[in-house]
Amino acid sequence: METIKNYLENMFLHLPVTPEVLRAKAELAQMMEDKYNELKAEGKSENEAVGIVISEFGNLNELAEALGIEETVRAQESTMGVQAEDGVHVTTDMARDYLAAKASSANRIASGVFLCIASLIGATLGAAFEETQSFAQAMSFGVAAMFLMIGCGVGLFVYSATRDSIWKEIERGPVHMDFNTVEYIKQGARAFHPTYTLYLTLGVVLCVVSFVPAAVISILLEGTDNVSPQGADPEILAGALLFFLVGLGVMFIVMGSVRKDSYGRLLRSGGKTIALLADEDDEDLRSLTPTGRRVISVYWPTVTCIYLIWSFLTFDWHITWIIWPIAAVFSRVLKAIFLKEEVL
Amino acid sequence: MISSDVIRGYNDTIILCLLLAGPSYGYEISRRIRNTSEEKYIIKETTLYSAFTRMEKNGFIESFYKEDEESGGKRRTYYRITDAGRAYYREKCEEWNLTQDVIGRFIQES
Repeated sequence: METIKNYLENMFLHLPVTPEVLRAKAELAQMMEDKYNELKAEGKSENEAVGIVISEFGNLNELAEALGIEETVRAQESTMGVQAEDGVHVTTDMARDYLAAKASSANRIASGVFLCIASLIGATLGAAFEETQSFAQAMSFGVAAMFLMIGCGVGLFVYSATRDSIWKEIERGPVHMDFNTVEYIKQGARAFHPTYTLYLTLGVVLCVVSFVPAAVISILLEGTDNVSPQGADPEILAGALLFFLVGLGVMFIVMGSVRKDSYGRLLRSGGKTIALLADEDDEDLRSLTPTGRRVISVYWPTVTCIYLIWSFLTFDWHITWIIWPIAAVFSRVLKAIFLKEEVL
Repeated sequence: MISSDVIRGYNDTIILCLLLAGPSYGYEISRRIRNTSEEKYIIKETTLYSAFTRMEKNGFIESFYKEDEESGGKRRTYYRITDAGRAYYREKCEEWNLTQDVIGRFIQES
């Protein structure tokens, strides 16, 4: 309810204080409160109720005539970048459609990434039968499964890219939107944030613990060295589980990031972020030169790649973690190098 | 969901129709529009409020304050339809019948 009150306060912030305006504000507040109470009584969550109330509020322009404040409204809108200019005008409905499309596209891309990473399971399982007579069949099944999964994964990427191409204008071109829409998107972004944090945490935890099964099994088997010639090598089987866990982890991270990114993109107008939503990371990024921003944006993915490649090639998990503290320190150095001159 | 551009000219008709049954207040009207239209039309709060002020100015409706017993004596603005409003409603109904008749001739099942 607090959010709704703030929303209304913001809408009326720059309007002259006349009896008409005050009455309109009181009436609208009453209607929104009634709607909010009923939604809550229907069992909607706080965020859902607030989201619905705000998305169904309407537009200040419509009130202008009733309140005799056309001039003020026009002036207010122009400061928010709503006046006719190049680019796409994004309405609340468009924003809703775009966010919904991006959410399903996030799921598709994440499943694609999972399939690509998990495809290695097939080959690994095949390799697990190396000591047995059925090695040739196992390996060919494994490799076939691998290519099938990669094929499906890539298919999902291509399909997603085609589906998303209709949103090209919103994603690239300058966009402008009225206050309601900005507020609606911000509300959505705030509501999504806990989910994002959950996905990210799950993803990182899964990646970190992915080597645990392999490590546990190799410790258990230490000294026994009596792998039966009929069965698969348990250590390699655990390796297959590792790819499954990493795949799952990366899937969560991708799912969260793509959706978070879709909110960020909408709130960008002509390359400038209107939103107050920007968290500290973005604050950091804005003080960097364009080259710096590009370097930083690929920095952590690169580090993760190096970590995974190094670890998988050597299986020295007890050493490879050292890459993280070093990378963290180095990222500070990079940011210092690419700092904009005016900030210094 | 119906587009607000199409329905704009008939918001007044919808509201007046609901007020024919008796005085009512903002959210109540908005809810009845949603229920009667089976959620096919959800009126925006700002649309509703500007319709109220416009029709009040034109003398089609009157507002008055009333304590609402159900929600613990909350004072709400109620609206009631006037005779001029009833006449205007009849006028709009005829207009709609004509519109429906004309447009209907151009709507074909494809």
